[in-house]
Amino acid sequence: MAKELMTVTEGETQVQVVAFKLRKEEYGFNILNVKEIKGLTDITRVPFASDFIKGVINLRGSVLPVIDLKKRLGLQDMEYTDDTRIVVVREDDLEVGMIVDAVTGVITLNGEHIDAAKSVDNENSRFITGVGKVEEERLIILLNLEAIIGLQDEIK
Amino acid sequence: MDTNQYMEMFLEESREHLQSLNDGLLALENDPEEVSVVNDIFRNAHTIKGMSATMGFTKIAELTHDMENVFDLLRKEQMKVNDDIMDTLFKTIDSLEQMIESVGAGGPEDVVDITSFASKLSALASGKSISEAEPAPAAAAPAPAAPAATSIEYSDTDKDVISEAANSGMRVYHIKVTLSSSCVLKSARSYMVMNALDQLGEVVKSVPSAEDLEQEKFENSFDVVVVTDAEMKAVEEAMLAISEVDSADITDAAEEIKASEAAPAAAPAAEAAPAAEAAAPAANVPVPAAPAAPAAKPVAAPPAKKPAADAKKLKSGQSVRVDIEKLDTLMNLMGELVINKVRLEQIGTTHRLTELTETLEQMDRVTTDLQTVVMKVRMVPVGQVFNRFPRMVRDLAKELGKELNLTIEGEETELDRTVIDEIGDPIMHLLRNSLDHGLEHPDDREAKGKPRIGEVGLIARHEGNNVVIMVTDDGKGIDADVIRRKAVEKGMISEDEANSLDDADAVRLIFLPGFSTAEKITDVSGRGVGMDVVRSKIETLGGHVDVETKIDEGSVFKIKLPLTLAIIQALLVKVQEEMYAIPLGSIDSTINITQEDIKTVRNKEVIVLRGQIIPIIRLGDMLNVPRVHETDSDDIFVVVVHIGERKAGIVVDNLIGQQEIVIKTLGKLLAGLKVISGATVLGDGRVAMILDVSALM
Repeated sequence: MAKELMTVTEGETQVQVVAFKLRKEEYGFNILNVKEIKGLTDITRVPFASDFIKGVINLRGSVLPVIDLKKRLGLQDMEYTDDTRIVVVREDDLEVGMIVDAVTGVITLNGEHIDAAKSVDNENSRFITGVGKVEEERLIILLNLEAIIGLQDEIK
Repeated sequence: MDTNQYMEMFLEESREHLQSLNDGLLALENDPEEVSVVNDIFRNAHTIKGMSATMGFTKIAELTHDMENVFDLLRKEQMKVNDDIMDTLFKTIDSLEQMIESVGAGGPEDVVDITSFASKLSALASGKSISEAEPAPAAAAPAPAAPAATSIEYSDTDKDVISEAANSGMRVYHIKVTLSSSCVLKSARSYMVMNALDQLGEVVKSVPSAEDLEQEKFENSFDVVVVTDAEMKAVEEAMLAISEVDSADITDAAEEIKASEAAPAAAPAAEAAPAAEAAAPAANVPVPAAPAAPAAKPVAAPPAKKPAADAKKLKSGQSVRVDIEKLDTLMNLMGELVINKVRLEQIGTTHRLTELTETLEQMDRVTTDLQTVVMKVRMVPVGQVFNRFPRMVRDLAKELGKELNLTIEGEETELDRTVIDEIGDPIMHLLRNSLDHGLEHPDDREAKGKPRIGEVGLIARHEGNNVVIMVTDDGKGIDADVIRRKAVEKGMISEDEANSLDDADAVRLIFLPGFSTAEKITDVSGRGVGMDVVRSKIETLGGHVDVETKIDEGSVFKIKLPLTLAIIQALLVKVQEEMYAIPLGSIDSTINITQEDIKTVRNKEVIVLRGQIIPIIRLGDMLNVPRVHETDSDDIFVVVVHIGERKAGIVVDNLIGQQEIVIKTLGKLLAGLKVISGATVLGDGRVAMILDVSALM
């Protein structure tokens, strides 16, 4: 996954991410994985689904599962606001929506400004591929989409 | 030559030819006298050989060539069919299949050691052959023999056309076009030849016919008679300009007719030779006639069976191969259309727009028709799945030392493609089960006074809106007491529970996970992963499986499947604020009851409906639906559903109505959910879950 994140442009490694907010922190998905961003719509609960799966939505006629990203990352729940968005991401041929508190923009990170995940050490480290630094104060936590969708482990 | 672009075609066609070979050999094994079958399969083998050689798969070509030699001896009746030969041939086909699949997957060709087969085949070929030198060249070079077959036969009308054309100053040429032996797309080349000739003049006749050319029913050359005002040279150049055309021998047809009329005996004689060979093969006709046989075959009168087969092939020739994905897209678009139609209907009803509603009624008819057509397009005959079983059953019977007769019925019954793709494994398992556990050994059967040869049936037929596939056997049946005992032994149910089950229900225990009654574990079945896998597979397809059995009379496994999986009729129900869809196919009735009607039996809620005790499932509790508001408890809606003979009442808050719904899968992330079989998009754009009734009960 880490190498996938890197795009080589003119000898310099750069990566573009779609940045969004979960509570107070800023996170990011590689822009290549992001298909679209849409506003909140009716979410239908799916009985017996894993607890981090919020439900499904109707995305132009097809049924799209939606993950409650805060719950997945063990963050505290928050009321939906006007800024709440569903980021539709794609990994392999699997499409999933992610509920985020707000989308903050597309950010280009330089390779040298990304710290590998091991510097962040907590129970959620498997969801994180690294931390990118923009300007002085702004940190963006880069997420490991494969682990978040979690097809390989806990589902089933 | 870059053969990659042909790989797909090679694989597809090879598989088809291998299937024909399998079918042909089975037919031959059943009726060893039917040598005409060999003629057909010889051609299959020949095509595989040609194709694989072109693709550069020499090993496959070699092995096919060796097999071809054996076929050649068989069809000339220089060798009699026996078990040894059949086994070797079957095994050879298996090896070919493995090799072809291996190259298809980009692997090496020689996944199988072919030397043993090759030597066995050539031993068969040389050992039994009457004239040892003859068969090889005959098989290897049927094409070069073709040019020897001379002029074509002109009917009286042909002659009239030709002489008329000649009188009006046009030229009539008889062109013999020979394609290169490595040509893969013979029909395409012949089409190009025809096209080119059409531009030069008018094609008045072709041997074989244009249809046969299209079907590739010719070896490497064909004859065309064309009326044109072009020079012979120009025609020849035009022919040779087409790639893979080796030669074009052009003669003046008018001259030919004159010549043939002058010596009328000559042509018919040439024609008669192969016919005589076919008519009296046992007489061992002089050698020269034999090699000409394959080339002359389209002309030589085929045995009575042939026309039927040809007619079948012609029909399939009028169809078009379509990428499965395109059909899926079509189906999805159809689904969208239905969703939007329903949405418009709702708008019409809410706003009381009569004009809109009327127009929609028209549109409804069109979409219904369209939907039927789209469904039909996706339908595939179950024969596609069934045709691989005779071979498997034969091998298995030999392995198990059992004798049986497999009857297949209703191969033409059609099912949705998605179902067809999935149904093969469950049926295979049921067949294995019947052979392994159902049928007794021939000696045991005799001791019971049954015929030695068991009967196994694989039957498909329509039953209402469903397709029923049955696997039947006349074996020993399933002993309900044995099943009860085993289930208790394995701790699946308590002794009391076991005794309270009637025989039919006890037998159904075999569909529970982890159940296997086989005394010893065999390679075939009995690893305890059998029937429950069959059941869950069938259920994911929206069908269900049941069994009827009688001791010593046999068992019938009955799979019931919906015709299609994509669009179904469903009843929409509401529980608190959530909507669910229940497939109409499993609904018995809906009833309105009060709290007093619900009784408790052994801590389970039941109702009595027309004298029958039916368990109650409260959907809201079952699915943990969040409580938003209290329901007024006096009026209770119950949807009575059934799976087979079993019934249950589902308690819901409200009935919304019956609707056509498009089934959407929930995708990988939500795969394997209990109780939910899919989702659908409702007219208002919201998503509703579809209940899996069989899992609820």
